[in-house]
Amino acid sequence: MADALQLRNLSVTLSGKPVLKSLNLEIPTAKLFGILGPNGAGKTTLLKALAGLVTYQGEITHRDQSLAALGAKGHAQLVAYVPQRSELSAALNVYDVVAQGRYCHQDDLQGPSASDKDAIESALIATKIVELAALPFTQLSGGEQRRVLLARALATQAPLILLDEPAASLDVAHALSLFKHMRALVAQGRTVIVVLHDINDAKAWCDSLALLSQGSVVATGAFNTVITAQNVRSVYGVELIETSALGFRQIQGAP
Amino acid sequence: MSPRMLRFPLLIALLVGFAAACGLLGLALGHGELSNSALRATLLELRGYRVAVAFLAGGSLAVGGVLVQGLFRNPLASPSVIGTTAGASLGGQIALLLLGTGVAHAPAWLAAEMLLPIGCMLGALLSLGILAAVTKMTRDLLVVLLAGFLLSSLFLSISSFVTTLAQGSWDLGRAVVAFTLGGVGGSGKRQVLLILPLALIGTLMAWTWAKPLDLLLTGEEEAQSLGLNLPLVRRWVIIWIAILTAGAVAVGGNVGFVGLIIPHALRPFTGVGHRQLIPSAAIAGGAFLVLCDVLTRVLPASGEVPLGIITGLIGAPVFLFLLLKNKQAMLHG
Repeated sequence: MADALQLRNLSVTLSGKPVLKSLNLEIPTAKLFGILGPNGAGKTTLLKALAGLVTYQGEITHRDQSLAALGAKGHAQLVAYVPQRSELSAALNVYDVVAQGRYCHQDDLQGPSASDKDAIESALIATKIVELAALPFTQLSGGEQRRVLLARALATQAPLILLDEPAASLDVAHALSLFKHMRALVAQGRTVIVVLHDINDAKAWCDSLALLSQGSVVATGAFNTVITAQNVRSVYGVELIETSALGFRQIQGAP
Repeated sequence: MSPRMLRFPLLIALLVGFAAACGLLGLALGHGELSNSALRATLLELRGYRVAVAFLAGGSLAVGGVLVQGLFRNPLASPSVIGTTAGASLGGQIALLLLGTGVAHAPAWLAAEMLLPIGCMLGALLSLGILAAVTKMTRDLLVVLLAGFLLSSLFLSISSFVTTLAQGSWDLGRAVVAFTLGGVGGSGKRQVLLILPLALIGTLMAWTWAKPLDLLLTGEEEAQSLGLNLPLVRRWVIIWIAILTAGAVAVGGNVGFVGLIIPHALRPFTGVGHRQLIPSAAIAGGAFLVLCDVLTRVLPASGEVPLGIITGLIGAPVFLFLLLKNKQAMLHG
Protein backbone atom coordinates (compact mmCIF):
# COMPACT_ATOMS: atom_id res chain seq x y z
CA MET A 1 0.00 0.00 0.00
CA ALA A 2 1.97 3.05 -1.26
CA ASP A 3 -0.32 5.38 0.66
CA ALA A 4 0.49 3.77 4.01
CA LEU A 5 3.17 4.58 6.53
CA GLN A 6 5.78 1.86 6.08
CA LEU A 7 8.27 0.84 8.76
CA ARG A 8 11.01 -1.49 7.52
CA ASN A 9 13.59 -3.19 9.74
CA LEU A 10 13.19 -0.46 12.34
CA SER A 11 15.63 -0.84 15.23
CA VAL A 12 16.27 1.53 18.12
CA THR A 13 18.92 1.14 20.79
CA LEU A 14 18.73 3.32 23.89
CA SER A 15 21.62 3.44 26.38
CA GLY A 16 23.09 0.32 24.77
CA LYS A 17 19.85 -1.64 25.16
CA PRO A 18 17.88 -2.71 22.06
CA VAL A 19 14.33 -1.36 22.47
CA LEU A 20 12.95 -1.97 18.97
CA LYS A 21 14.28 -4.97 17.03
CA SER A 22 14.02 -5.01 13.21
CA LEU A 23 10.38 -4.08 13.38
CA ASN A 24 8.27 -4.19 10.22
CA LEU A 25 4.86 -2.55 10.15
CA GLU A 26 2.40 -1.03 7.73
CA ILE A 27 0.10 1.63 9.13
CA PRO A 28 -2.86 2.48 6.90
CA THR A 29 -3.64 6.17 6.36
CA ALA A 30 -6.87 7.87 7.38
CA LYS A 31 -7.37 5.33 10.16
CA LEU A 32 -7.15 5.30 13.94
CA PHE A 33 -4.24 2.95 14.57
CA GLY A 34 -3.57 1.68 18.08
CA ILE A 35 -0.28 0.43 19.47
CA LEU A 36 -0.70 -1.98 22.35
CA GLY A 37 1.69 -3.94 24.49
CA PRO A 38 2.88 -4.45 28.05
CA ASN A 39 5.16 -2.00 29.86
CA GLY A 40 8.60 -1.89 28.27
CA ALA A 41 7.39 -3.34 24.95
CA GLY A 42 8.72 -0.31 23.04
CA LYS A 43 5.41 1.48 22.32
CA THR A 44 6.53 4.99 23.27
CA THR A 45 9.91 4.48 21.58
CA LEU A 46 8.10 3.47 18.39
CA LEU A 47 6.03 6.65 18.59
CA LYS A 48 9.17 8.73 19.21
CA ALA A 49 10.89 7.12 16.21
CA LEU A 50 7.91 8.14 14.07
CA ALA A 51 8.15 11.65 15.54
CA GLY A 52 11.86 11.81 14.69
CA LEU A 53 12.84 12.10 18.35
CA VAL A 54 15.11 9.05 18.58
CA THR A 55 17.83 7.83 16.27
CA TYR A 56 16.88 4.65 14.47
CA GLN A 57 18.21 2.14 11.99
CA GLY A 58 15.97 0.99 9.16
CA GLU A 59 13.49 3.07 7.24
CA ILE A 60 10.21 4.89 7.77
CA THR A 61 8.44 6.04 4.62
CA HIS A 62 5.21 7.87 3.97
CA ARG A 63 3.91 7.82 0.41
CA ASP A 64 7.32 6.42 -0.59
CA GLN A 65 9.15 9.37 0.96
CA SER A 66 11.70 8.67 3.68
CA LEU A 67 10.95 10.59 6.88
CA ALA A 68 14.66 10.67 7.72
CA ALA A 69 15.30 12.77 4.61
CA LEU A 70 13.00 15.53 5.81
CA GLY A 71 14.38 18.53 7.67
CA ALA A 72 13.17 19.32 11.18
CA LYS A 73 10.40 21.64 9.97
CA GLY A 74 9.45 19.36 7.06
CA HIS A 75 9.12 16.45 9.48
CA ALA A 76 6.93 18.52 11.82
CA GLN A 77 4.68 19.50 8.90
CA LEU A 78 4.06 15.80 8.24
CA VAL A 79 3.98 14.35 11.76
CA ALA A 80 2.53 15.98 14.90
CA TYR A 81 3.36 14.48 18.28
CA VAL A 82 1.28 14.83 21.43
CA PRO A 83 3.27 13.75 24.52
CA GLN A 84 1.65 12.31 27.64
CA ARG A 85 2.34 15.57 29.41
CA SER A 86 4.20 18.73 28.54
CA GLU A 87 7.48 19.80 30.13
CA LEU A 88 6.36 23.40 29.79
CA SER A 89 6.73 25.16 33.13
CA ALA A 90 7.00 28.77 31.92
CA ALA A 91 4.00 31.07 32.15
CA LEU A 92 2.88 30.85 28.50
CA ASN A 93 -0.82 31.31 27.83
CA VAL A 94 -2.86 28.70 25.98
CA TYR A 95 -2.99 30.69 22.73
CA ASP A 96 0.80 30.95 22.62
CA VAL A 97 1.18 27.22 23.30
CA VAL A 98 -1.18 26.37 20.42
CA ALA A 99 0.64 28.92 18.23
CA GLN A 100 3.85 26.89 18.71
CA GLY A 101 2.27 24.40 16.33
CA ARG A 102 2.77 26.90 13.51
CA TYR A 103 6.55 27.12 14.01
CA CYS A 104 7.17 24.51 11.33
CA HIS A 105 5.42 26.73 8.75
CA GLN A 106 7.21 29.96 9.65
CA ASP A 107 10.52 31.63 9.13
CA ASP A 108 12.32 32.34 12.44
CA LEU A 109 12.08 36.10 11.92
CA GLN A 110 8.54 36.10 10.58
CA GLY A 111 5.45 36.98 12.59
CA PRO A 112 2.25 34.92 12.36
CA SER A 113 0.54 35.12 8.96
CA ALA A 114 -3.21 35.16 8.33
CA SER A 115 -3.14 31.42 7.62
CA ASP A 116 -1.25 30.84 10.89
CA LYS A 117 -3.94 32.73 12.79
CA ASP A 118 -6.69 30.79 11.01
CA ALA A 119 -5.04 27.46 11.85
CA ILE A 120 -4.67 28.46 15.52
CA GLU A 121 -8.31 29.63 15.74
CA SER A 122 -9.53 26.42 14.08
CA ALA A 123 -7.50 24.28 16.48
CA LEU A 124 -8.85 26.20 19.51
CA ILE A 125 -12.41 25.79 18.25
CA ALA A 126 -12.00 22.11 17.32
CA THR A 127 -10.70 21.22 20.78
CA LYS A 128 -13.24 23.50 22.52
CA ILE A 129 -10.66 25.56 24.39
CA VAL A 130 -11.41 29.03 22.98
CA GLU A 131 -12.44 30.24 26.44
CA LEU A 132 -9.10 29.06 27.87
CA ALA A 133 -6.98 30.91 25.29
CA ALA A 134 -5.83 33.71 27.61
CA LEU A 135 -5.13 31.49 30.64
CA PRO A 136 -1.64 30.30 31.62
CA PHE A 137 -1.10 26.72 30.46
CA THR A 138 0.37 25.69 33.81
CA GLN A 139 -2.85 26.63 35.66
CA LEU A 140 -5.02 24.19 33.67
CA SER A 141 -6.18 20.76 34.82
CA GLY A 142 -4.57 17.64 33.33
CA GLY A 143 -7.53 17.11 30.98
CA GLU A 144 -7.47 20.71 29.77
CA GLN A 145 -3.71 20.57 29.21
CA ARG A 146 -4.19 17.42 27.10
CA ARG A 147 -6.70 19.30 24.92
CA VAL A 148 -4.27 22.21 24.52
CA LEU A 149 -1.50 19.83 23.43
CA LEU A 150 -3.91 18.23 20.94
CA ALA A 151 -4.84 21.71 19.67
CA ARG A 152 -1.14 22.49 19.17
CA ALA A 153 -0.78 19.29 17.16
CA LEU A 154 -3.85 20.22 15.07
CA ALA A 155 -2.41 23.69 14.43
CA THR A 156 0.51 22.05 12.60
CA GLN A 157 -2.07 20.73 10.08
CA ALA A 158 0.07 17.58 9.86
CA PRO A 159 -1.68 14.61 8.23
CA LEU A 160 -0.19 12.18 10.78
CA ILE A 161 -0.93 12.69 14.46
CA LEU A 162 0.78 10.65 17.18
CA LEU A 163 -0.59 10.49 20.71
CA ASP A 164 1.12 8.83 23.66
CA GLU A 165 -1.46 7.35 26.04
CA PRO A 166 -3.89 10.24 25.60
CA ALA A 167 -6.48 8.87 28.02
CA ALA A 168 -4.05 8.20 30.86
CA SER A 169 -5.24 9.88 34.09
CA LEU A 170 -8.35 11.30 32.36
CA ASP A 171 -11.80 10.75 33.80
CA VAL A 172 -14.34 8.88 31.68
CA ALA A 173 -15.99 12.03 30.26
CA HIS A 174 -12.70 13.63 29.16
CA ALA A 175 -11.41 10.36 27.74
CA LEU A 176 -14.63 9.87 25.79
CA SER A 177 -14.45 13.39 24.42
CA LEU A 178 -10.83 12.89 23.37
CA PHE A 179 -11.49 9.61 21.55
CA LYS A 180 -14.49 11.12 19.75
CA HIS A 181 -12.23 13.91 18.66
CA MET A 182 -9.69 11.44 17.31
CA ARG A 183 -12.44 9.72 15.34
CA ALA A 184 -13.48 13.09 13.89
CA LEU A 185 -9.89 13.69 12.78
CA VAL A 186 -9.84 10.32 11.04
CA ALA A 187 -13.14 11.21 9.33
CA GLN A 188 -11.36 14.32 8.00
CA GLY A 189 -8.72 12.08 6.41
CA ARG A 190 -5.98 12.33 9.04
CA THR A 191 -4.06 9.33 10.28
CA VAL A 192 -4.06 9.04 14.06
CA ILE A 193 -1.57 6.70 15.73
CA VAL A 194 -2.13 6.21 19.40
CA VAL A 195 -0.29 4.31 22.13
CA LEU A 196 -2.81 2.68 24.46
CA HIS A 197 -2.69 0.67 27.65
CA ASP A 198 -6.38 -0.10 27.88
CA ILE A 199 -7.36 -2.93 25.52
CA ASN A 200 -11.04 -1.97 25.88
CA ASP A 201 -10.25 1.51 24.50
CA ALA A 202 -8.50 -0.13 21.57
CA LYS A 203 -11.55 -2.29 20.89
CA ALA A 204 -13.94 0.64 21.13
CA TRP A 205 -12.08 3.18 19.05
CA CYS A 206 -9.28 1.81 16.85
CA ASP A 207 -9.64 0.67 13.23
CA SER A 208 -6.56 -1.52 13.43
CA LEU A 209 -3.83 -2.36 15.90
CA ALA A 210 -0.29 -3.55 16.41
CA LEU A 211 0.58 -5.62 19.46
CA LEU A 212 4.18 -5.19 20.57
CA SER A 213 6.25 -7.32 22.88
CA GLN A 214 9.95 -6.89 23.69
CA GLY A 215 10.51 -4.54 20.77
CA SER A 216 8.86 -6.68 18.10
CA VAL A 217 5.43 -6.82 16.48
CA VAL A 218 3.55 -9.92 17.67
CA ALA A 219 0.41 -9.27 15.60
CA THR A 220 -1.12 -6.51 13.52
CA GLY A 221 -4.52 -6.00 11.93
CA ALA A 222 -8.11 -5.75 13.13
CA PHE A 223 -8.89 -6.10 16.86
CA ASN A 224 -10.17 -9.68 16.64
CA THR A 225 -7.09 -10.91 14.83
CA VAL A 226 -4.67 -9.17 17.24
CA ILE A 227 -6.31 -9.65 20.64
CA THR A 228 -6.64 -13.41 20.70
CA ALA A 229 -6.47 -15.61 23.79
CA GLN A 230 -3.11 -16.95 22.64
CA ASN A 231 -1.57 -13.51 21.96
CA VAL A 232 -2.81 -12.11 25.28
CA ARG A 233 -1.40 -15.12 27.13
CA SER A 234 2.01 -14.94 25.43
CA VAL A 235 2.40 -11.15 25.59
CA TYR A 236 0.73 -10.20 28.90
CA GLY A 237 0.91 -13.57 30.67
CA VAL A 238 -2.81 -13.48 31.58
CA GLU A 239 -5.94 -15.32 30.46
CA LEU A 240 -8.42 -13.42 28.28
CA ILE A 241 -11.96 -13.48 29.67
CA GLU A 242 -14.84 -12.13 27.61
CA THR A 243 -17.19 -10.08 29.84
CA SER A 244 -19.68 -7.35 29.17
CA ALA A 245 -17.69 -4.24 30.16
CA LEU A 246 -19.39 -1.00 31.13
CA GLY A 247 -19.87 1.41 28.24
CA PHE A 248 -20.36 5.17 28.16
CA ARG A 249 -21.64 7.73 25.72
CA GLN A 250 -21.72 11.51 25.81
CA ILE A 251 -24.88 13.29 26.91
CA GLN A 252 -26.36 15.18 23.98
CA GLY A 253 -25.35 18.81 24.01
CA ALA A 254 -22.40 18.22 26.38
CA PRO A 255 -18.98 19.48 25.25
CA MET B 1 -3.37 50.04 19.97
CA SER B 2 -4.50 47.76 22.79
CA PRO B 3 -3.05 48.24 26.31
CA ARG B 4 -1.17 44.93 25.90
CA MET B 5 0.53 46.16 22.71
CA LEU B 6 1.44 49.45 24.39
CA ARG B 7 3.08 47.75 27.34
CA PHE B 8 6.33 46.82 25.60
CA PRO B 9 7.06 50.24 24.01
CA LEU B 10 6.25 51.81 27.38
CA LEU B 11 8.65 49.46 29.17
CA ILE B 12 11.41 50.23 26.65
CA ALA B 13 10.80 53.97 27.08
CA LEU B 14 11.01 53.60 30.88
CA LEU B 15 14.20 51.53 30.64
CA VAL B 16 15.78 54.04 28.26
CA GLY B 17 14.88 56.81 30.72
CA PHE B 18 16.37 54.83 33.60
CA ALA B 19 19.51 54.10 31.58
CA ALA B 20 19.84 57.80 30.71
CA ALA B 21 19.51 58.74 34.39
CA CYS B 22 22.17 56.17 35.32
CA GLY B 23 24.38 57.53 32.54
CA LEU B 24 24.01 61.08 33.88
CA LEU B 25 24.92 59.87 37.37
CA GLY B 26 27.93 58.13 35.83
CA LEU B 27 29.01 61.39 34.24
CA ALA B 28 28.37 63.51 37.33
CA LEU B 29 29.83 61.39 40.15
CA GLY B 30 33.38 60.35 40.86
CA HIS B 31 36.75 61.65 41.92
CA GLY B 32 37.47 65.11 40.52
CA GLU B 33 35.26 68.18 40.49
CA LEU B 34 33.28 69.02 37.37
CA SER B 35 33.14 72.61 38.59
CA ASN B 36 36.82 72.87 37.73
CA SER B 37 36.60 74.19 34.17
CA ALA B 38 40.14 73.07 33.35
CA LEU B 39 39.32 69.45 34.16
CA ARG B 40 35.67 69.30 33.13
CA ALA B 41 36.13 68.27 29.48
CA THR B 42 38.71 65.59 30.33
CA LEU B 43 36.65 64.20 33.24
CA LEU B 44 33.51 64.07 31.14
CA GLU B 45 35.35 62.32 28.31
CA LEU B 46 36.87 59.71 30.62
CA ARG B 47 33.58 59.13 32.46
CA GLY B 48 31.74 59.01 29.14
CA TYR B 49 33.93 56.13 27.93
CA ARG B 50 33.50 54.46 31.29
CA VAL B 51 29.70 54.78 31.18
CA ALA B 52 29.64 53.48 27.59
CA VAL B 53 31.80 50.45 28.41
CA ALA B 54 29.80 49.64 31.57
CA PHE B 55 26.54 49.95 29.63
CA LEU B 56 27.69 47.70 26.78
CA ALA B 57 29.26 45.13 29.13
CA GLY B 58 26.17 45.04 31.38
CA GLY B 59 23.85 44.72 28.39
CA SER B 60 25.99 41.90 26.97
CA LEU B 61 26.00 39.99 30.26
CA ALA B 62 22.23 40.40 30.71
CA VAL B 63 21.47 39.21 27.18
CA GLY B 64 23.96 36.37 27.75
CA GLY B 65 21.95 35.50 30.88
CA VAL B 66 18.69 35.42 28.92
CA LEU B 67 20.29 33.08 26.36
CA VAL B 68 21.83 30.79 28.98
CA GLN B 69 18.55 30.50 30.90
CA GLY B 70 16.66 29.82 27.67
CA LEU B 71 19.11 27.28 26.30
CA PHE B 72 19.58 25.29 29.50
CA ARG B 73 15.93 25.84 30.56
CA ASN B 74 17.27 26.73 33.95
CA PRO B 75 15.99 29.79 35.80
CA LEU B 76 19.09 29.87 37.99
CA ALA B 77 21.62 29.81 35.18
CA SER B 78 23.65 32.79 34.04
CA PRO B 79 27.10 33.15 32.46
CA SER B 80 28.68 33.62 35.91
CA VAL B 81 26.73 30.83 37.65
CA ILE B 82 27.49 28.14 35.06
CA GLY B 83 31.17 29.02 34.69
CA THR B 84 31.09 30.87 31.35
CA THR B 85 32.36 34.11 32.88
CA ALA B 86 35.09 32.24 34.79
CA GLY B 87 36.05 30.42 31.56
CA ALA B 88 36.19 33.69 29.65
CA SER B 89 38.19 35.28 32.45
CA LEU B 90 40.69 32.41 32.45
CA GLY B 91 41.00 32.64 28.67
CA GLY B 92 41.67 36.38 29.00
CA GLN B 93 44.26 35.84 31.72
CA ILE B 94 46.09 33.23 29.65
CA ALA B 95 46.07 35.62 26.66
CA LEU B 96 47.51 38.37 28.88
CA LEU B 97 50.14 35.98 30.25
CA LEU B 98 51.18 34.73 26.82
CA LEU B 99 51.41 38.27 25.46
CA GLY B 100 53.11 39.65 28.58
CA THR B 101 55.77 36.96 28.74
CA GLY B 102 56.38 37.13 25.00
CA VAL B 103 55.47 33.46 24.52
CA ALA B 104 52.85 34.39 21.91
CA HIS B 105 52.64 37.23 19.45
CA ALA B 106 49.63 38.41 17.55
CA PRO B 107 49.90 37.69 13.82
CA ALA B 108 50.64 40.71 11.65
CA TRP B 109 47.01 41.00 10.50
CA LEU B 110 45.64 41.08 14.03
CA ALA B 111 46.00 43.90 16.56
CA ALA B 112 47.66 42.62 19.75
CA GLU B 113 44.79 43.84 21.95
CA MET B 114 42.42 41.56 20.05
CA LEU B 115 44.13 38.52 21.59
CA LEU B 116 42.45 39.33 24.91
CA PRO B 117 38.84 39.04 23.63
CA ILE B 118 39.82 36.03 21.51
CA GLY B 119 41.25 34.37 24.64
CA CYS B 120 38.05 35.25 26.52
CA MET B 121 35.91 33.79 23.76
CA LEU B 122 37.87 30.53 23.61
CA GLY B 123 37.57 30.21 27.39
CA ALA B 124 33.82 30.87 27.26
CA LEU B 125 33.36 28.36 24.41
CA LEU B 126 35.34 25.71 26.30
CA SER B 127 33.20 26.22 29.39
CA LEU B 128 29.91 26.13 27.45
CA GLY B 129 31.05 23.11 25.43
CA ILE B 130 31.72 21.11 28.60
CA LEU B 131 28.39 22.13 30.10
CA ALA B 132 26.51 21.29 26.89
CA ALA B 133 28.08 17.81 27.03
CA VAL B 134 26.91 17.42 30.65
CA THR B 135 23.41 18.53 29.62
CA LYS B 136 23.33 15.79 27.00
CA MET B 137 24.08 13.19 29.68
CA THR B 138 21.49 14.37 32.17
CA ARG B 139 18.40 16.56 32.08
CA ASP B 140 18.46 17.08 35.83
CA LEU B 141 18.63 20.85 36.32
CA LEU B 142 20.34 20.48 39.68
CA VAL B 143 23.16 18.36 38.19
CA VAL B 144 23.66 20.88 35.36
CA LEU B 145 23.82 23.73 37.84
CA LEU B 146 26.26 21.88 40.09
CA ALA B 147 28.39 21.04 37.07
CA GLY B 148 28.43 24.77 36.29
CA PHE B 149 29.54 25.57 39.83
CA LEU B 150 32.23 22.91 39.55
CA LEU B 151 33.46 24.36 36.25
CA SER B 152 33.46 27.82 37.76
CA SER B 153 35.55 26.62 40.72
CA LEU B 154 37.93 24.75 38.42
CA PHE B 155 38.47 27.77 36.18
CA LEU B 156 38.90 30.07 39.18
CA SER B 157 41.55 27.71 40.62
CA ILE B 158 43.43 27.66 37.32
CA SER B 159 43.02 31.47 37.20
CA SER B 160 44.69 31.74 40.60
CA PHE B 161 47.56 29.62 39.29
CA VAL B 162 47.87 31.85 36.20
CA THR B 163 47.88 34.89 38.50
CA THR B 164 50.81 33.45 40.45
CA LEU B 165 52.67 32.78 37.19
CA ALA B 166 52.14 36.41 36.17
CA GLN B 167 53.72 37.74 39.38
CA GLY B 168 57.20 37.28 37.84
CA SER B 169 56.68 40.64 36.18
CA TRP B 170 55.29 43.53 38.26
CA ASP B 171 53.41 45.11 35.32
CA LEU B 172 52.01 41.81 34.10
CA GLY B 173 51.03 40.71 37.61
CA ARG B 174 49.18 43.97 38.20
CA ALA B 175 47.42 43.76 34.82
CA VAL B 176 46.25 40.19 35.47
CA VAL B 177 45.00 41.00 39.00
CA ALA B 178 43.18 44.14 37.80
CA PHE B 179 41.60 42.17 34.96
CA THR B 180 40.49 39.42 37.37
CA LEU B 181 38.88 41.78 39.89
CA GLY B 182 36.84 43.39 37.15
CA GLY B 183 36.17 47.02 36.51
CA VAL B 184 35.74 49.60 33.82
CA GLY B 185 37.82 52.27 35.55
CA GLY B 186 40.55 52.55 32.96
CA SER B 187 38.22 52.44 29.96
CA GLY B 188 38.91 54.54 26.92
CA LYS B 189 38.09 54.70 23.26
CA ARG B 190 39.89 51.40 22.60
CA GLN B 191 37.65 49.50 25.04
CA VAL B 192 34.53 51.09 23.56
CA LEU B 193 35.59 50.08 20.06
CA LEU B 194 36.37 46.57 21.29
CA ILE B 195 33.07 45.84 22.95
CA LEU B 196 30.74 47.87 20.72
CA PRO B 197 30.67 45.45 17.75
CA LEU B 198 30.59 42.37 20.00
CA ALA B 199 27.69 43.74 22.08
CA LEU B 200 25.70 45.00 19.09
CA ILE B 201 26.19 41.96 16.88
CA GLY B 202 25.74 39.56 19.80
CA THR B 203 22.50 41.20 20.94
CA LEU B 204 21.09 41.51 17.43
CA MET B 205 21.91 37.89 16.58
CA ALA B 206 20.56 36.73 19.95
CA TRP B 207 17.28 38.43 19.05
CA THR B 208 17.11 36.49 15.76
CA TRP B 209 17.04 33.26 17.83
CA ALA B 210 14.15 34.49 19.99
CA LYS B 211 11.53 32.27 18.37
CA PRO B 212 13.53 29.01 18.69
CA LEU B 213 14.27 29.93 22.32
CA ASP B 214 10.55 30.47 22.93
CA LEU B 215 9.90 27.01 21.53
CA LEU B 216 12.54 25.55 23.85
CA LEU B 217 10.43 26.67 26.84
CA THR B 218 8.32 23.62 26.14
CA GLY B 219 11.26 21.23 26.54
CA GLU B 220 13.81 19.90 24.07
CA GLU B 221 11.80 16.88 22.97
CA GLU B 222 8.55 18.75 22.35
CA ALA B 223 10.41 21.60 20.66
CA GLN B 224 12.07 19.12 18.28
CA SER B 225 8.73 17.50 17.51
CA LEU B 226 7.43 20.97 16.58
CA GLY B 227 10.20 21.45 14.03
CA LEU B 228 13.11 22.87 16.04
CA ASN B 229 16.55 21.96 14.75
CA LEU B 230 18.01 21.56 18.23
CA PRO B 231 21.69 20.94 17.36
CA LEU B 232 21.68 24.05 15.15
CA VAL B 233 20.02 26.21 17.82
CA ARG B 234 22.33 24.90 20.53
CA ARG B 235 25.45 25.55 18.42
CA TRP B 236 24.55 29.11 17.45
CA VAL B 237 23.15 30.21 20.80
CA ILE B 238 26.33 28.94 22.50
CA ILE B 239 28.39 31.00 20.04
CA TRP B 240 26.41 34.18 20.80
CA ILE B 241 26.62 33.56 24.56
CA ALA B 242 30.39 33.16 24.19
CA ILE B 243 30.73 36.35 22.11
CA LEU B 244 28.63 38.43 24.50
CA THR B 245 30.36 37.10 27.62
CA ALA B 246 33.81 37.37 26.06
CA GLY B 247 33.23 41.01 25.06
CA ALA B 248 32.00 41.92 28.55
CA VAL B 249 34.81 40.07 30.34
CA ALA B 250 37.49 41.49 28.00
CA VAL B 251 36.61 45.07 28.99
CA GLY B 252 35.11 44.57 32.47
CA GLY B 253 36.82 41.47 33.85
CA ASN B 254 35.10 38.86 35.97
CA VAL B 255 31.79 40.61 36.70
CA GLY B 256 29.18 38.20 38.01
CA PHE B 257 25.42 37.91 38.50
CA VAL B 258 24.25 40.56 35.98
CA GLY B 259 22.95 37.82 33.69
CA LEU B 260 21.08 36.24 36.58
CA ILE B 261 19.40 39.26 38.13
CA ILE B 262 18.28 41.20 35.06
CA PRO B 263 16.20 38.53 33.24
CA HIS B 264 14.42 37.67 36.49
CA ALA B 265 13.70 41.31 37.24
CA LEU B 266 12.24 41.84 33.75
CA ARG B 267 10.07 38.75 33.22
CA PRO B 268 7.14 40.07 35.30
CA PHE B 269 6.95 42.96 32.80
CA THR B 270 7.98 41.34 29.50
CA GLY B 271 6.60 37.84 30.01
CA VAL B 272 8.70 34.82 29.05
CA GLY B 273 8.88 35.63 25.31
CA HIS B 274 12.45 36.27 24.16
CA ARG B 275 11.49 38.88 21.53
CA GLN B 276 10.72 41.35 24.30
CA LEU B 277 13.07 39.98 26.93
CA ILE B 278 16.29 40.31 24.89
CA PRO B 279 16.11 44.05 24.01
CA SER B 280 14.78 44.87 27.49
CA ALA B 281 17.65 42.95 29.10
CA ALA B 282 20.19 44.74 26.89
CA ILE B 283 19.05 48.14 28.17
CA ALA B 284 18.33 47.16 31.79
CA GLY B 285 21.59 45.18 32.12
CA GLY B 286 23.54 48.14 30.76
CA ALA B 287 21.86 50.59 33.15
CA PHE B 288 22.40 48.21 36.10
CA LEU B 289 26.14 47.91 35.49
CA VAL B 290 26.48 51.69 35.00
CA LEU B 291 24.80 52.10 38.39
CA CYS B 292 27.09 49.48 39.96
CA ASP B 293 30.08 51.32 38.48
CA VAL B 294 28.84 54.56 40.05
CA LEU B 295 28.72 52.73 43.41
CA THR B 296 32.37 51.64 42.98
CA ARG B 297 33.27 55.34 42.91
CA VAL B 298 31.14 56.65 45.74
CA LEU B 299 31.43 53.89 48.38
CA PRO B 300 33.94 54.74 51.11
CA ALA B 301 37.15 52.87 50.35
CA SER B 302 40.80 53.59 49.71
CA GLY B 303 40.46 53.89 45.94
CA GLU B 304 37.63 52.35 43.99
CA VAL B 305 35.84 49.17 45.01
CA PRO B 306 36.24 46.59 42.19
CA LEU B 307 33.09 46.29 40.05
CA GLY B 308 32.88 42.50 40.49
CA ILE B 309 32.60 42.96 44.25
CA ILE B 310 29.58 45.27 43.92
CA THR B 311 27.73 42.94 41.52
CA GLY B 312 28.64 40.00 43.77
CA LEU B 313 27.31 41.75 46.88
CA ILE B 314 24.00 42.42 45.12
CA GLY B 315 23.88 39.20 43.10
CA ALA B 316 24.64 36.60 45.79
CA PRO B 317 21.60 37.35 48.00
CA VAL B 318 19.38 37.59 44.91
CA PHE B 319 20.68 34.20 43.78
CA LEU B 320 19.93 32.72 47.22
CA PHE B 321 16.42 34.15 47.10
CA LEU B 322 15.82 32.66 43.64
CA LEU B 323 17.29 29.33 44.73
CA LEU B 324 14.80 29.12 47.62
CA LYS B 325 11.95 30.29 45.39
CA ASN B 326 12.75 27.66 42.73
CA LYS B 327 13.54 24.87 45.20
CA GLN B 328 10.69 22.67 44.04
CA ALA B 329 11.60 22.98 40.36
CA MET B 330 15.24 22.26 41.15
CA LEU B 331 14.48 19.16 43.16
CA HIS B 332 12.06 17.71 40.65
CA GLY B 333 13.76 18.84 37.43
